[in-house]
Amino acid sequence: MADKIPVTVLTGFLGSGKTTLLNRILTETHGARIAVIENEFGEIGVDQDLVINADEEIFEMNNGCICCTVRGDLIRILGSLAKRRDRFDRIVLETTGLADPGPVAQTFYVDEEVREHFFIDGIVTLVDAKHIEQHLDEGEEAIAQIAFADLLVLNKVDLVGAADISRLHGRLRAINSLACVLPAYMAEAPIREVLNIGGFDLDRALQTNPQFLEPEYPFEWAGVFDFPAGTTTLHFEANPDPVHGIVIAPIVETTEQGLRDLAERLFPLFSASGQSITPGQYLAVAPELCELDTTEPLGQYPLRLEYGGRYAVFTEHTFEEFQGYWQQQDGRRLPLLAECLFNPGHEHDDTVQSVSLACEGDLDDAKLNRWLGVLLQTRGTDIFRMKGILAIEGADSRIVLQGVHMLMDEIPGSLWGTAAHHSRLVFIGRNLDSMALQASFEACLVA
Amino acid sequence: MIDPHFRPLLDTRLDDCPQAMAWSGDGQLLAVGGAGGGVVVLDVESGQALARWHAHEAGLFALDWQPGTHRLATSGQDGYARVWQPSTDGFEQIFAVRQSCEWVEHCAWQPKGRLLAVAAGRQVNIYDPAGKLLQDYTYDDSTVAAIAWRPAGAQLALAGYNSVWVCSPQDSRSSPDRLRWRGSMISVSWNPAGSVIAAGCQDATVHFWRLRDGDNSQMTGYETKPRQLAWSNSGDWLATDGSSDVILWSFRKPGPEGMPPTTLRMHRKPVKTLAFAPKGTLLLSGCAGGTICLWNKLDDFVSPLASQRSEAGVELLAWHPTVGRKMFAAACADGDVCVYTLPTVMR
Repeated sequence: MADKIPVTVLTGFLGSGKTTLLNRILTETHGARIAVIENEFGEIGVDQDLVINADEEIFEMNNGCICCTVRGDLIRILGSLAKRRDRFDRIVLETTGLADPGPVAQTFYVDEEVREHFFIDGIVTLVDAKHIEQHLDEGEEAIAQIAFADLLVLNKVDLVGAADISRLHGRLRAINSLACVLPAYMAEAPIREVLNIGGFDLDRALQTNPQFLEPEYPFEWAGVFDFPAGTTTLHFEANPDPVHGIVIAPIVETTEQGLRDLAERLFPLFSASGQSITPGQYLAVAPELCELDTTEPLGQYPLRLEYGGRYAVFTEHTFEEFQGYWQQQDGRRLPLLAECLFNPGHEHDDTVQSVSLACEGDLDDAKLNRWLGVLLQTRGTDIFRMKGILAIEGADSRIVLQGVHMLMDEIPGSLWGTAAHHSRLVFIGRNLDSMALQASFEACLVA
Repeated sequence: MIDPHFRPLLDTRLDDCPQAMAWSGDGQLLAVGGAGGGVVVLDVESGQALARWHAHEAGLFALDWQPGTHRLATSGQDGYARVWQPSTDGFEQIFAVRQSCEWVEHCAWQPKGRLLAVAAGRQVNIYDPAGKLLQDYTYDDSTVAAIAWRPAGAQLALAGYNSVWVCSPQDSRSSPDRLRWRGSMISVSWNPAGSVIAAGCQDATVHFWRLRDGDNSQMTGYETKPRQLAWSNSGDWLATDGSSDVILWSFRKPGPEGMPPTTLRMHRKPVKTLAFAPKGTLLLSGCAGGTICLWNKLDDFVSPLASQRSEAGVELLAWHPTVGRKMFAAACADGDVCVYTLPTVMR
């Protein structure tokens, strides 16, 4: 990679601060010679030798597969810049606000000439903290830009409150667990963190997202209560989501570890189809999953128990978020004896999520290729990016895997030495079934 | 592999990777333009560089001699096509025509004619020799990726995304014929008779149309996108790049359809440039590894001609236009430009 020219791709909606960041890159990288490719007429405030204005030209390849769209303008421009590669050290490509990063990334996989001379150092997505949630709810473009990012610059954080930032952070993380999130004001992100991202660094991903290797749960919260015999009613005073999954199960050990052990056993319930419960209807105890209809404000859901006892309540979202509590027949609220937060795999309703897979030991190369081949052929449209570090049987070094939609690339990484062999694989995509993917991944282990 | 008797007749240097190279019609002058915007004109008889100047501030894309003259058209990244002629101290600009966008990627004179075609972005403008705009076309699907005049004809082919346009600029009322083909076409070329148009495609194929009956066909099997499309003077052979081999398709009856091509295998790096001699079947090929090969289709004679003085890739090859001179120019990525004549034994 040493002899290839790094390309930094700046994406983000109009007004998210791309041009401000670009100008800062150009002013603050003293000595670095940067060629700029602009798809949008921005105000470059710096004297710059090489600024190329380009029209975004999306070309389908002849097989008609939408996963193989490329950017014709980039192929032409980069082909020409390759002949002058002694004139600059890196390229910054600023895309239009609504640009899909897919064809940009695919261009670097598909075109031989581009591959020979250039590599994507990083896709940097500028996120306007004030407007991004609206953009995420309105269309696919913002989701794709976030899903493709290696770095998310959460800009204009001065315009929103701390609670908003924290919520946004969680939502971005749920979509793309691998990207760093840098909060910024006036696109004031440290430039050295914006450039030289250097593709995928799992160590970095682990540092910035410590939950990465934790299992992802379909529930966010669990609490322990002592229920009396008879009827106790669950009250929700707020309802951010129209449906809310809940599982009620007896528990013996009222500790966090006890809750976590129980969580492992209840895990599959959340992927089964549950019983839909409208306000006023009775709740059921595990193995039933109750799907509460929370479209009405101030929902009340009674639970009738023949005998009193200690139960754990697992909820898709935190009790706090719904302002939930249990009320006894005499009007008193049940005290919470213990609670535990879980790393939710499905924190929000965005259908685009990151799925992190892990397994110990060596993978069988043939099995892995067969699985990935079929998976990308059938689900490539839904998979934005794939990144992994793999232990392959017979390989002395780690294998670094990168993919965009249906395309993937493997390059050797650092040597294993005496380190224990393990593999990590992350998919960022739409409607992915993490448990099924994990099972298929483990099936690729050497028998 | 180096033939010790095979030395360049003359050589010069460019500051840049060469981007375009052309012999004047009479073969007296050789012009080479660098990607950075510099142009050098060599006088073949004296062996001296007649002129050396910076034609386009930001970089150069194309250059072409007006047939029958020593006027040179150039286009570059400064938004202009410019026409130059010899003066007492080098070359002076006769006129410059502003285009609709900064990257003016193509300029080409009509063979044996007087029209200059200039392509920038989606726009193609046709000028008379004084720089007056006569006609313009707006290609609708993408930036125009390549243009080619019909040899000895008045028509101009434009290639890009999803179609090749055949324009007749002298007939102001005619609209272009569109040869449709799904995909991105990156190069275009007519056979010498002007009856076949071939286009190199991004998806590693070559597509061609027979204009008389509108028949079209696709040639597949390439490793990478073929860009070079070189016809033998007879029109019997079409040589293409697209791997480290030269791929040669026969257009003798019944044509290339269903027939495997001839594969000329000698280069170890991707082929970058191809040139058929103005007459006969001698073919030159140059690769990214710096080797030039000479091929003769008739007797399968192959000679690795010269390993250049460095490992720099051979970017451009051009035969001297005079039949029988057996002279050619080679320009390499490090800026080396050499003119060779073939040793008698190779003729």
